Amino acid sequence: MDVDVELREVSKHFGAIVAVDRVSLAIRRGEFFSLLGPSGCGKTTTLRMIGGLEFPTAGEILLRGAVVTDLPAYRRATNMVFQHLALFPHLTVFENIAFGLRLRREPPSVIARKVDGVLQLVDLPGYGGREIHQLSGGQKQRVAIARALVNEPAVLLLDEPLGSLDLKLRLAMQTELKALQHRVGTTFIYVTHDQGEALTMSDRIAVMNLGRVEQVATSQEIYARPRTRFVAGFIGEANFLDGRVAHAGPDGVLVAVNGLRVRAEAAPAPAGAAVTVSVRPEHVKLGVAADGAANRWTGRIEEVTFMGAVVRARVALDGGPRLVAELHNDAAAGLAPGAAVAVGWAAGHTVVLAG
Amino acid sequence: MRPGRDPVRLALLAFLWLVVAFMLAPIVFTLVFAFSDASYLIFPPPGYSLRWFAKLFEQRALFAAAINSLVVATAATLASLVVGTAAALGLVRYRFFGRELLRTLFLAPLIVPRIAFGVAMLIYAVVLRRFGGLDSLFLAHLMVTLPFAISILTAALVSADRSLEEAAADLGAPPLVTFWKVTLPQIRTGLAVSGFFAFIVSWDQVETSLFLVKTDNMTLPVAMFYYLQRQQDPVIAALSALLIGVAAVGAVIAVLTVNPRDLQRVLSAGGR
Amino acid sequence: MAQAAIPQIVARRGGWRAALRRYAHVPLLTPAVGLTVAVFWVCMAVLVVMSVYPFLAAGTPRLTLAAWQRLLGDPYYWGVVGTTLRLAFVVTALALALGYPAAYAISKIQRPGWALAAYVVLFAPILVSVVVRTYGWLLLLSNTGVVNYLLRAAGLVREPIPLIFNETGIIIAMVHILLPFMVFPILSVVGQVGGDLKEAAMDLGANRWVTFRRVTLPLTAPGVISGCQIVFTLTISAFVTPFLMGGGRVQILSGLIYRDMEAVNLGFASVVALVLLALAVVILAASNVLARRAYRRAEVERA
Repeated sequence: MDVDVELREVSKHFGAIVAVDRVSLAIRRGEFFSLLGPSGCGKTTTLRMIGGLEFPTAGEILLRGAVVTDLPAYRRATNMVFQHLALFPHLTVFENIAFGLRLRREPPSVIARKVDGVLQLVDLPGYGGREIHQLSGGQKQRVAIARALVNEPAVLLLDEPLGSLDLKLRLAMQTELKALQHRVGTTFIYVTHDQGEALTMSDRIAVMNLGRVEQVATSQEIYARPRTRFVAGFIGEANFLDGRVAHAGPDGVLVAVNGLRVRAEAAPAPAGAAVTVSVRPEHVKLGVAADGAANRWTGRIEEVTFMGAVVRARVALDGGPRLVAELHNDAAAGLAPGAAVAVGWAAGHTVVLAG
Repeated sequence: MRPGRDPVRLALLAFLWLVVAFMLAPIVFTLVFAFSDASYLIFPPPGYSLRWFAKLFEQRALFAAAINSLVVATAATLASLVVGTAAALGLVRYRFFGRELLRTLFLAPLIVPRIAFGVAMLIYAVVLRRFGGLDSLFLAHLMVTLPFAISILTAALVSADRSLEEAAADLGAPPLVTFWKVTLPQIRTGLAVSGFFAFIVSWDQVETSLFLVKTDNMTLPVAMFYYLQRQQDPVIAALSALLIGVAAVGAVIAVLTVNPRDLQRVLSAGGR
Repeated sequence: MAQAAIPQIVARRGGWRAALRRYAHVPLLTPAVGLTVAVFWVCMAVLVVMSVYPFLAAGTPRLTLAAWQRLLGDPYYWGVVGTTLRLAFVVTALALALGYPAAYAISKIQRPGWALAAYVVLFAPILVSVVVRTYGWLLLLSNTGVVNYLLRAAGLVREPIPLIFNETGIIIAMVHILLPFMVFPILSVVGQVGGDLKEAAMDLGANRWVTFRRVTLPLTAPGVISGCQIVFTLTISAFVTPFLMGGGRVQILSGLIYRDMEAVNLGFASVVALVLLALAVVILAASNVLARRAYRRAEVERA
């Protein structure tokens, strides 16, 4: 498989602060790849180093196999969609988009054709003559994307480009961006702190924390098989129970948690190791739904919160630990604080995290 | 109370009109005297004529001085814009050891009394055997205009959007192209304001020039200063009338092109 | 997958591109540093050297403190310093007395057109040469000038009152020339004093005067201080206006410098120039302490 962008042990220090810490990544051609993490995790710095707007303190960056570590932005085949778009306010939509083409000294007829084409692509035909300040938020967004795409970059870098839009528009643009990427086939590297956004759009996600990559995997895998406690907590919600591996064999795993024995299918650590057990609230069943589950206990409901389509219930297990369960509205009938209830989940939904 | 009837407000506005009258009085009466018929200072003028304008145009020395002033002011303005923009870029866009010290080094000439600097400049020029030339005059004026340019352009660059420059670089523009196509349009106002003030300050510079000029090679304000010491006939009033006319055109241009906010910032910063 | 990167310790990066980036500010700053040091800072050094080696230019370098002794030991020169400071105080006070209400009034003008007109009138005189404006005041204030004519026509005086070639003339013309530098700093802060603060104060029962004294005045103090700084330092170093309006009868430091330069007494001129410079620096430093305090107070009140 062709690799478009490769980072080898890349670090970036700002004075005493380590923004990016020995990050290695390989991003495949045509992939929609997201860098996901909380603010300050180093995701934007990583993106800016790929684009040549920042330079690594250590490590190498390769673009289609060529080392570009020290090459400035204007010598790289990458283009970026900036967080605040950075459209040139003194130029029209057409001139904004033509900016890169003019620098490459394309003939005017080619420029006109390409700009028109890309305006079609982002669904803004005939907007070339507009001034930037005449556009709506969503339209500016499209112009910024068009301005980058028209140069046919090897890689398109997107730095939280949807952050300034309101929720409804953001959701619409997510779908549109994904469809656009499909059509043009360019490699997209997308920086976001919004896990929902990353899960919907990405082929693969790198979850970053404190300058390091915690896990690189597909959306499904990240969600179902988080490898660290940070990933499990950052992506979706999770119940965490600290315990110790009591038994690990080909038939499955048993983790001892406060006297409870939690069944899982696999564990990253041998018997005796301290681990954290994680289970998603939507996998925790209550009442009759828990019948037959590999992990099944009784508990007492402490609190019930109505949230529209779903209901959340906090349950104290008889062994001590508390769990949050998320149920469909109709399955929640009869749940009331103080009631005794059966609690359970399948062994396959138990995720055992090292440490 | 309606604002229109508020007595305190009315008193304030009346006071403002008095201040406005005070500001305009010497300018208005200079214009009146320019058309006076008398050859000495008297009000009201016994009659009106254009003879002082006619006499003004015979004054070759004043004309030569005006040319000198124009040359020096233009050169000082252009140099402070070029050198000042580069310095402001260095100060704003990079982090390095000694940046604050450098800023102080650049702005210090603003607090030095001009006449003190003029004394030093003369001695320096004599030592270097450049006394009386337009080049030493140009350097002296540049020292006065450069701090302005640097302080105004620094402020302009700080408020310019850095990400636009990054976007240009990202789209393939090398540093000089980025500067020309993206940075420059953003600091246009700063350039206009600092250029405008650099020109005015140099054009109207007496104290710094006073000792640097030779009697046969003056700048206009110095020539006028010496003329006034010798005689006070309305030739200077006629010349003043012309200069006021030019200034009025300048004021109109300034009002039309410069944002009052920027103007205010410059004047508040001690635009001297 | 290529993700299994070769584990290696990569040293801090070098290379010519990295070096170029690290020193990119050097070529940008070099012209300004070079010029400022080679012209301005050397000039400052020249002043100091000349004040103790007055005959250096004549080719006889001999250290002497004679010029310093002459200036510091003669009460006449202390009188000149006194006159210089007194004029600066009076001019600053008058400029403040005219400028503060004027700036306040401009901020109260509701129609933007009129506000702009007031701006222009206060700013435009800067475009007219100081020499021209001083000449205008000579025309207005001389014995046969406009003011004395009007006073006589109104029957207020029989003999013209001397308004030029004395401190009165200097003060009037200096206030006129420096007024814009007082008005604009005040204007830039007076606009920021929100109506809601004042309304809050009024609402709390403060009358107008108390509101002004307790709210507006402290908030505009930074503008007042910077206006006063500018006007004061410009007055002590002004030459053309005091010289022409004083007609040689009012001696101040800048006039002293001019006299000594005309007499080619470079050493003494350098000493006076240094004294003037020292005055400017001391006054600025002292008022900066005040300004910082005022700024802090204004910040606190605004927050």
